[in-house]
Amino acid sequence: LDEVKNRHEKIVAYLLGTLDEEGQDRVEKEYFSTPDALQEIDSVEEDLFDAYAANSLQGDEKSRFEERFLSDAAGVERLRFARSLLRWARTNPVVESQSLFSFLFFWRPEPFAVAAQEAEDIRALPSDTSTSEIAVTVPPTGIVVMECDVTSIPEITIFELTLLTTDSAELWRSGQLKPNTAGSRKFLSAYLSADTLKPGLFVLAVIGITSEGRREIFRRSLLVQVSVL
Amino acid sequence: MSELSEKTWESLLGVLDPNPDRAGEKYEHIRRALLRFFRNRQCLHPEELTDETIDRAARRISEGVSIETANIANYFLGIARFVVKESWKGRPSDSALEDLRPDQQPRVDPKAIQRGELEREDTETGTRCLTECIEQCFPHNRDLLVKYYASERREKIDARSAMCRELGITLNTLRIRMCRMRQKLESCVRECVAA
Repeated sequence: LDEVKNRHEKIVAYLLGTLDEEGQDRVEKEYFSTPDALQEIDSVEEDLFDAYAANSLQGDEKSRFEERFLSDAAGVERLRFARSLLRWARTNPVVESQSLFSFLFFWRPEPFAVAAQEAEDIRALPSDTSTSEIAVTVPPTGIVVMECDVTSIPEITIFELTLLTTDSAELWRSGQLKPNTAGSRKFLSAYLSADTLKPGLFVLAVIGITSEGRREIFRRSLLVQVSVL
Repeated sequence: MSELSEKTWESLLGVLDPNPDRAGEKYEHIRRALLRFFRNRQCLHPEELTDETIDRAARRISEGVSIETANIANYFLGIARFVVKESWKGRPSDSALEDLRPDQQPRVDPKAIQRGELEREDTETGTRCLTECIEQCFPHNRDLLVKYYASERREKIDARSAMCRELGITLNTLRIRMCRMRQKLESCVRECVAA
């Protein structure tokens, strides 16, 4: 956490023009090297706008911010947006019933031999971010069809699903998946051998492949408890 | 973008990456990084200086100058540093407001305009556009925006740490993701207000 904080402070100093020449060179080399580093600078700049909008900047930081970011119409417009967004967020409650995770498991005794609508639904447990476990019972052999709702990730069109141990060792990874659609719902379907799912605790992760070709974890279930029939 | 010949342009993209799509992405990254660089150096015309830097790099590449750096983007950074120094040399020296003759004094107080802009309440249109754009762009991620932006000070750190635990991602990844969402939202609101 300290490392993140120090880095954040260094970027703030860069943006406000208080970082020494050597520090500036380092920050610039970083953001010229990777798009993520550049995006990080953008995100810290937005934090500064938010801090100013929330009256959290004081003294020299505040005056430097005004000098560097509010001297043109574009900066003033960005500040207005920041204030609107903060006001909106503080007057709109979180709707807790909305679920971030929704994993469904089906079992079919023979690979691809049974039509999907005839598949036996062993467990269909929606999981939200506050749920610690998804319980799944699988047959000793056969194919498990795993579905994952990705309606809330509209910006990504290609995904992968992975199964990890609780130590983050990868046990299985699907190929690249494009979401299926059913009405307004978007979901991924992946098949894996039941043999892969030994009894125990696992973590499921949804990895999105961004337009720049980077892989990012978009969701991760907390724990999946697997038992075998 | 400035006017580069097709050959020069192709040479530039070819050096960035043999795959045209990836080359285009790398070009966009370099362009954004250059804009950031010139803005941070408080240059008056960052877009022009960005074009100038890309022109120079592209011409050198098409002339067959060898690039002795593992990361091509750093080559652009090196040129940008020269360009910024040149721009400072050509810039007239600043004068303090108090030193100007009465007929050179600005007729309006820019700070007063700025204060007025800042104090002006958001228009009804702006608020409506924000709500519409959130529904349109992030119908299922509305709660993420609320959780990320609603808390203040110490609570904010706790709330964001909790979000990271829930999503199983690092704080930095969360911030970058929220930054992308915000950029998309800001652009949507801008278009909505203009319409």
